[in-house]
Amino acid sequence: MAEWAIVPVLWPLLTAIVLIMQGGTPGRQRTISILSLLGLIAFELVLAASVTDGSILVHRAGNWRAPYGIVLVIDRLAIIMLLLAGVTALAILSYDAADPDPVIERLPFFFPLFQFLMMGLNGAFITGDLFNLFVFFEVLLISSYGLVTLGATARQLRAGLQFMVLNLVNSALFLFGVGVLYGLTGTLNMADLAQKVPLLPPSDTALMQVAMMTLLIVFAGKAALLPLAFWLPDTYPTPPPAISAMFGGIATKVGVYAILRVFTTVFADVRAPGAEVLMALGIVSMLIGVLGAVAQTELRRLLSFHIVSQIGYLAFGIGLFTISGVAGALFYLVHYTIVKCALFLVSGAAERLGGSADLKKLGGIAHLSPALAALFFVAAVSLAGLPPTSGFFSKFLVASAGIEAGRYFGVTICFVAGILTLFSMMKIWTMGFWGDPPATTAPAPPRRGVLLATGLLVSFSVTLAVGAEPLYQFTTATAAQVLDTAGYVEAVFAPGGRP
Amino acid sequence: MRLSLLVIPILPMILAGLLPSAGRLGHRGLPLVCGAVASVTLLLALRVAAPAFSGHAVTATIPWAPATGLNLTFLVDGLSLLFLLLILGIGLLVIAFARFYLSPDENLPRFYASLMLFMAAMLGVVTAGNLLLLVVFWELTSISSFLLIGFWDRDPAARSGAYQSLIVTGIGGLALLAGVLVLGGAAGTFDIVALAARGAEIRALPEMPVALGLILVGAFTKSAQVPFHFWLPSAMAAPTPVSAYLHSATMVKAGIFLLARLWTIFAATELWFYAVTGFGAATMLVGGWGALRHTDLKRLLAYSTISQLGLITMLYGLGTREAALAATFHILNHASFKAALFMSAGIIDHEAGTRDFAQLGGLRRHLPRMTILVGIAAASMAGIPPLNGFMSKELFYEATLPAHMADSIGASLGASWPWLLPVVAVLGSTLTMAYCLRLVIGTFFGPEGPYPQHPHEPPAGMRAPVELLATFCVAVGFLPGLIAEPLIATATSAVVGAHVHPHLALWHGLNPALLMTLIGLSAGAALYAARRGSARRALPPRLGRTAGELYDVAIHGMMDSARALTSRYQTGRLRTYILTILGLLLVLAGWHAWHASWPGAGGAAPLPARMPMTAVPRGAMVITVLTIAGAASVCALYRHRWPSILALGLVGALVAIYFAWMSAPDLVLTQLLVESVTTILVVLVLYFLPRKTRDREPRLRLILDGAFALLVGVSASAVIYAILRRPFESISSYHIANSLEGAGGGNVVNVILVDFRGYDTLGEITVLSIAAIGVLALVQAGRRTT
Repeated sequence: MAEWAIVPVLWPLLTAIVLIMQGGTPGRQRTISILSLLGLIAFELVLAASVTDGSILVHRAGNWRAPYGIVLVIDRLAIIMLLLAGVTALAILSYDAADPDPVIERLPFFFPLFQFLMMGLNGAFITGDLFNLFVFFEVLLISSYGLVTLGATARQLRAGLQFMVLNLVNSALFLFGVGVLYGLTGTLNMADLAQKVPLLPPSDTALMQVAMMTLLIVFAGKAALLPLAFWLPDTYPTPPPAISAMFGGIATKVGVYAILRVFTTVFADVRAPGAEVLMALGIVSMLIGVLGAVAQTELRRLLSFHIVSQIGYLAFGIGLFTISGVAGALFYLVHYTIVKCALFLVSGAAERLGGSADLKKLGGIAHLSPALAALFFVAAVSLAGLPPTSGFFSKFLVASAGIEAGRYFGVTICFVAGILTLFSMMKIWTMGFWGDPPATTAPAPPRRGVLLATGLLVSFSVTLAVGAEPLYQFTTATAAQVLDTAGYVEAVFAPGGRP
Repeated sequence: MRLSLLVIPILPMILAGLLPSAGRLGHRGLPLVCGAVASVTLLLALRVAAPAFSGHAVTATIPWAPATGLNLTFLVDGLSLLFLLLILGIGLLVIAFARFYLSPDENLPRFYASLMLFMAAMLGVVTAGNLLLLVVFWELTSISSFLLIGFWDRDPAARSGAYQSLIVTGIGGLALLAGVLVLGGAAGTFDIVALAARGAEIRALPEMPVALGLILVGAFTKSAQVPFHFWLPSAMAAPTPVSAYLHSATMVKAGIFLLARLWTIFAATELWFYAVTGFGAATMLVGGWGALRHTDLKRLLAYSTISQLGLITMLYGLGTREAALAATFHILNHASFKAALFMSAGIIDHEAGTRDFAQLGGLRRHLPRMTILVGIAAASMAGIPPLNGFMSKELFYEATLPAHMADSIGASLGASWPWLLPVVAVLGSTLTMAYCLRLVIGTFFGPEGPYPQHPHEPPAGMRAPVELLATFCVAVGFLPGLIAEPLIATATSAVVGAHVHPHLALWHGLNPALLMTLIGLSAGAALYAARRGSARRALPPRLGRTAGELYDVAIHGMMDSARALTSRYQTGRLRTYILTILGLLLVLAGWHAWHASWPGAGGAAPLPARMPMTAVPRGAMVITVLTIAGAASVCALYRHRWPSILALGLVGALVAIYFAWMSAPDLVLTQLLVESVTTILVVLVLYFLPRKTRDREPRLRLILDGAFALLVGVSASAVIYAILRRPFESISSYHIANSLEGAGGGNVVNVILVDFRGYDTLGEITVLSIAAIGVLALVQAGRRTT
């Protein structure tokens, strides 16, 4: 199976090439994209079946063995991320198929760019090489840039420029950090680094700290942790809702993933100061991010601030670096990817239905489309962490992991941010969904397919709550595997490849 | 058996899920179906709970998420039984009432769905045997009551009332969850039976005060205790059947239920005694006073509910079995008379078109039957014999007497201030009597008001639930042993965890309690008489701020500061952003590096440089430094873009020279190519942009920015220098060794690019093509929009 581990990267790349070569109408591009995605998800499920027992698939690119060539590694964590990306993407493309966005219709470049984005995501999720992670961050960044500016309105270009510049600064820092690490250890393979970093003499600790803090800042910036999230709230609300949903759902998770991966391999032995900083950033994000959301009245902008806040929960849970902390954070990650994506899609439909993105002008969506309102309500309640949804479990698991570790201050902030989340989500509800519908608009209710695509995501959130046990078992097993650095190293260095 | 316990909350929940698409049933069919399901649930509950009557708790556990500690553990004992009967019994009456109260034009499926969801959540709270499961249902009551209170969502008052109640009870719910997590984490289980069995051990835990404090915040917010009571009057914007249900028997009683549930564990602690008794007493007085201040009939009832809830809370706080008995009994009595009163308020509103005392009065001529019914219910609330309210009031008085607290945690309070609690109790009753008089007289007696519509008796079906409840109040008064005693005995036994054999009776002889009753009633009558003239008016605004206004101030303050804070850091200026990123990195990396290398902090200083640097001719060094400095100055000083671009290109070319000197011709070519193409491209782009570039910056900012940039540059150079001077081993020796033999290429750099790390190159090539597509998309979009 291991030799197939490269497919999640090559598949979207080939699809993108096909899409570019054959051109054609948006409808045809959409069909190809969805079919390709279905195939990819099916394949990933096959991969999943062979890693759930705890085995780790290692693909050696060019058959060069580690650490001399690049390895691709698929373990439980990677498969969670791959499947999440696939499912989110499928929901988004189905949503767009049901109710094509005019901008996407006009600019079918969306479809290859979307595949490239998938390629960047998947590549980042499965690489076992620090420099290769940088490469896939670039793939991700450049395709994101194309997507966020799709439509090229003045607001998009302005936000897109900042997005680009800040991410370039980030990339430069990434290279700097990787360079320092290479200078210290002479290697780029994460498993190899995991072995060599602990052997560094004490006189190199200072430089190693510089490298760790640099990479932490880089990944925290990618993940949109405060105070490094400037680019996010201006960028995410501007493109068509389907694109917002993809970014809000999965794209920022790459940063979180990278932190988890790098701090359980490269820095596993020396991560204590980094973990403290990570938790601190998480706590700041949780609270300040949600306050940002409280201050907004524009639908998708408000949701964008929530991303910052929710990432804070992930950072806090991961920063504990205990099995329950990481397991809770991973549960949270699954839940929140799904719910956030659903919320962006519902908001897109609500904006269209109500004729405005501004809550002050919206109203009465619940009277215009009760089904859409119900979907929003469940997703909102889930985001706020109330039962009977996956959000409740997520918050509860992260908080109890925090209590277990004696991090009472962080846990307190978890709860305070939770209530503020409820506050701002219900503000959307009371302002946008209750009350009188705006008199000026008389649009058609959202199409069945739109409701179906978002409904699937929302019901997935409820299913995750009803069936919390299997997922939690799996994230616990994943956390145990991720925290077992030696197991990862052993898998990567298992015999194989050219001598 | 196990499954049937699960069915109790599930059955109404399933119905709630089906109702939104059951609009066809119409305004007659919907309540019928709901009533049928509630009745079936009631029968089932009675059947399942039969052993609870004889004191045997029924439990069942179905695994939900055992790894997290959250299981579907159900526990039905006497206390659950009492609440099951209240929730389902009053629920049935409310459904019947709503059938007549709500207009057929309303969105009835939504109403009944929310109502059944709420009922299911309440049933879950009172049958939960796992604290986490209790929290789950608890939050579900908050959500469903939000939907119910905001049912008339086009009314701004309904929206804000619903919002406020959700926020306040949501805060409480999270506090409860936090408390439960602390408690369960410390005790090792969330199972209520297991926790109750280890009461003494739990009371001794160091985490106990934190856990209990948080749990009490949850209970107090739900049960509208001071200072969280303000949400309840705002929730009066709900349709009256909702108020009758939520604020008599269910929602607000959930907090009380929690106190009763945890009584065996915590009642013997000082924190419990002082906090629960104290907040309960304060709530009783504040609520009673509030009921005298408002002219809206429903608001009066809301404040009276607060007051009565305070009374029950206070009783559970006292920690004696007598007090627990009185509290439990009063739960039943309050539910009966308060539901009757809320429904009556709805009827009056429905018939007279107003519920404002300024427009009411003299209704007894138009609504003679309602006058009697309201009279009975109000008399019960005031504690007038021979009604059920009188009996629980008597027990209440007795429980506050120091003699009854001798063996409990309150003994010291009873000894030092023996009069304190009895006086509070009498004061509470005085206020109760006064507002009950105001309620009855203000509505039905005195001169007729300017009713907006001509009042007449309501349809029999609407009045029937009120009649039933009033009959119940009288019947319990006359036949307490037959109707209430077995239920109250088993419920109280479950609360205190021991067999209690109460003797409920109207006449207990001439004792202090009777005296207190008499004082309370007459003082209340006097208080009413004293301000009778103003019965139709609201009292002048109170000095200071009420809790509700404080809430508003807090919310607005929070929102304002959130706005201010956000606009402070989300400035939209790249300079601030980059400054923050690099500044944070400097601080973090600097601090940790310093810490790691400072021996005093346990670190080890870097070894002195060991590797010799490659020697560079002095002239080359000078040229390099001058070029870099010159380029930097040009960029900083010139306000035009072109010189800056050219200067930067020069630095790039300089790098190429260094490559050449280090004998890497491929790199020289690449570098030169990239530099010149970039420069040409940028210059081309600039050609299309406006000539003028930057605004003049304040000099100080320029200097600061320059200093910062210098600091970043020097720091990065220092790190690179340190790395260059340390011994270095890398994997590249393998690459060099295997380049020709393994990969068939003589140039190792090329082999790395296309073979050893060809996968990287694949990614980089892709980046280029993505960039091309992105540019194309931008150009096309731009062309079509302009």
